[in-house]
Amino acid sequence: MDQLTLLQIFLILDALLIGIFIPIAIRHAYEHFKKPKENIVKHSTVSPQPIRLSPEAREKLIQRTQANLQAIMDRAASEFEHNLTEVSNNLNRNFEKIASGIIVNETKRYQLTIANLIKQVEENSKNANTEFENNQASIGTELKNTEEKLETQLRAKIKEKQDKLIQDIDTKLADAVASFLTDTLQHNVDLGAQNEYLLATLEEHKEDLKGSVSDDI
Amino acid sequence: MTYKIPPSISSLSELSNLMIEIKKYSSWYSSHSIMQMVSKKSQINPPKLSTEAVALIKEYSGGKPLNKTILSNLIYDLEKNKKNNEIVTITLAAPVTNEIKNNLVNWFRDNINPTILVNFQFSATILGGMVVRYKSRIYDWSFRKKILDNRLNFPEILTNVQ
Repeated sequence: MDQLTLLQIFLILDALLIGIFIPIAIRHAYEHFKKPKENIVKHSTVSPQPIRLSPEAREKLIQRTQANLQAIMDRAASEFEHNLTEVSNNLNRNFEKIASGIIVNETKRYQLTIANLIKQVEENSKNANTEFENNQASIGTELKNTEEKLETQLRAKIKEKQDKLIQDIDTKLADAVASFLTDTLQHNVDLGAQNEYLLATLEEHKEDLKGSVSDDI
Repeated sequence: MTYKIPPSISSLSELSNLMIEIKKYSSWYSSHSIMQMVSKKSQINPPKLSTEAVALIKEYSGGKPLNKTILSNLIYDLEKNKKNNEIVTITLAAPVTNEIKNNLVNWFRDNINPTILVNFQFSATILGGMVVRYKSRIYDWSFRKKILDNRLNFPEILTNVQ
């Protein structure tokens, strides 16, 4: 957008300069070519004769010519200055118009952009708030779940440890009792009381004994 | 011929002693028979036999009159039995009494083999019951094993006691 406006300005300047210089050039060209043609026409009808002028006349002529030239130059300069002033005023006006148009457009665009940005920021902020709330909720839920899971695991581990300790106690207790009984009962054994028991045990395992004895015969 | 060794003869050494007795008697009997045949009176008194030897000879003869053949066959069977060497070792918690020894030997001879031999040992550590060993097989029916096998049930029983 800036590049286009610059180009426009440049083109307008060029057009104005061309508009100034072309008429000036045309006028000068016209004046340049106009006098020699009249001279050629006069000289063509009358055969050229050397004109002899007095130094005073020459001086006067020179002075007059100089004055005329000066007048022309002054006139051209003033016209040029006037045109230049006009052109510069036009340019200024156009610049102002363009600049103001650009400024207005840019301001409008800027304001629109700002409004969009503000809207976007508001939307983003709203989304961020919503997401934050959702995340908070999900984090809270996750924390709660993790807490419950850890608690369950901890309880399970405690129970496992408890069971193991109880089992160890039971085993040690059983070993202690077995040890106590073996130490206590191995003295003063009465076989007479075991007579029936021994025979009953042999009866109970009769088939096993028969099998082992007959296998090895 | 089937016969049952008296229960008081349980070990190999007792059997060997019994066989020596019967062999002595058998040799006396042979010479006595010959003397009788030539109507000469035997000068040698018959050797004293233990009650077990007498019972065995009576059982082996099956009520028939005793002769050299029966004695020879008995000796032969006893030698064969000794060679087969069927021995069961029983370990008890205390030195075995005669009553228990006879009961156990009788049971083995009635249920397993009439000519089986039974050795007795004792070890107080088994606390009670017995450990029976026959060649490579061992049957541990001792109190000690029962206590040790069921020691893990003790806490459970303890908790059920009111």
